[in-house]
Amino acid sequence: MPYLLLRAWTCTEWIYEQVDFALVEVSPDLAALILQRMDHAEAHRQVDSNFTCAEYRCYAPQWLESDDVLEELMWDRRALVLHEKPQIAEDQLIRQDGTRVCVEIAGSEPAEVQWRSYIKYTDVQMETESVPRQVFEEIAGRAPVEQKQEFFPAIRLSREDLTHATGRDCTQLPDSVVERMAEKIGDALFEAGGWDVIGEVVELCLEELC
Amino acid sequence: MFLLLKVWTLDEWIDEWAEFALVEVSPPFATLVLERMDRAEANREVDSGFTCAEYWDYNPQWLQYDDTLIELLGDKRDIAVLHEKPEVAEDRIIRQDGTRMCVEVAGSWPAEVRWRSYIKHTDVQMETESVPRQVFEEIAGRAPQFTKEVV
Repeated sequence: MPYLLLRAWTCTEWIYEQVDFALVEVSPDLAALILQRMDHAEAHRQVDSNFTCAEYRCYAPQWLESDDVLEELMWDRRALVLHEKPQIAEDQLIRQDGTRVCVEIAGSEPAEVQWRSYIKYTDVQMETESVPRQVFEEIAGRAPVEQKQEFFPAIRLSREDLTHATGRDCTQLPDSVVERMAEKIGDALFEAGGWDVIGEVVELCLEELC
Repeated sequence: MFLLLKVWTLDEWIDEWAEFALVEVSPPFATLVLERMDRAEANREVDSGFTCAEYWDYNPQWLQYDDTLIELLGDKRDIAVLHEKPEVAEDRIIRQDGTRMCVEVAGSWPAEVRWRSYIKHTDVQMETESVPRQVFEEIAGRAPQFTKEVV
């Protein structure tokens, strides 16, 4: 069963329990349901331009405190798809209440999904990083599965980021090159570790792809 | 028309917090809210997990404690419908960010509406008491006027 490992945070610094990760079991059926909800949200935006989010009850996530193993798995990424559940110590778990999956719409961007919850017996909210559509398409079996599927490079790069990283004008690059580059950078970050490799990887990608 | 609503600020350690929100609701706006409530109830019919739809809406003013507003709200009430805007001192206004109108459905109950926002430059959330459908029906002119202004 696929699991999403996501960065998460607690919306106040004054509480002892601080969440760092959420581990969400996402079956192909749940992924298909989420895709349906994303379609519904995008249709809703067409009839009401101020629409921004729809929430659905969903207790799929486990909310976790900081952990070295998970930290190593994540590196600088915001989201990973894992095909096996990582080992989690019981005392890392943060008890939750009122957990929802939230389908969010920002301007004309495609819908994204995040989970929100409250730390049990408090009004302190926890939130995950948001997850793009293609992750759920992959889990639902609607997108081609990459060979290295367990490490989804959930990294967004704008052309301005690339220009900044390389010092070269990347503002005219086609979408396909920018997407492919994000994928390669995701792999390189996992293998080499740290954002300091980004300039080098982008240079190599530019040579290979352009 | 104005709605005066009780507010909760979800952080007890912050220096300035909101206790009231004042929301201007014109008849066309009340009609829009009713449409959103209808849509939320229809959505629940097709997806039983659905619980809330949010819309950007910077209509509310978020206000600190104020004796006049306490008096207008009356004892043990969380919502008042006012025909005129009460005077509010500038220094009682809490600056907001990311303000949304939330149309909520709980179980098989009718939809209700509340507003949520963040205190500007913080991640501290404020939320109003929820407002039932009949308040918007009254303002939109679809229901008989209440004999009292205060719901």
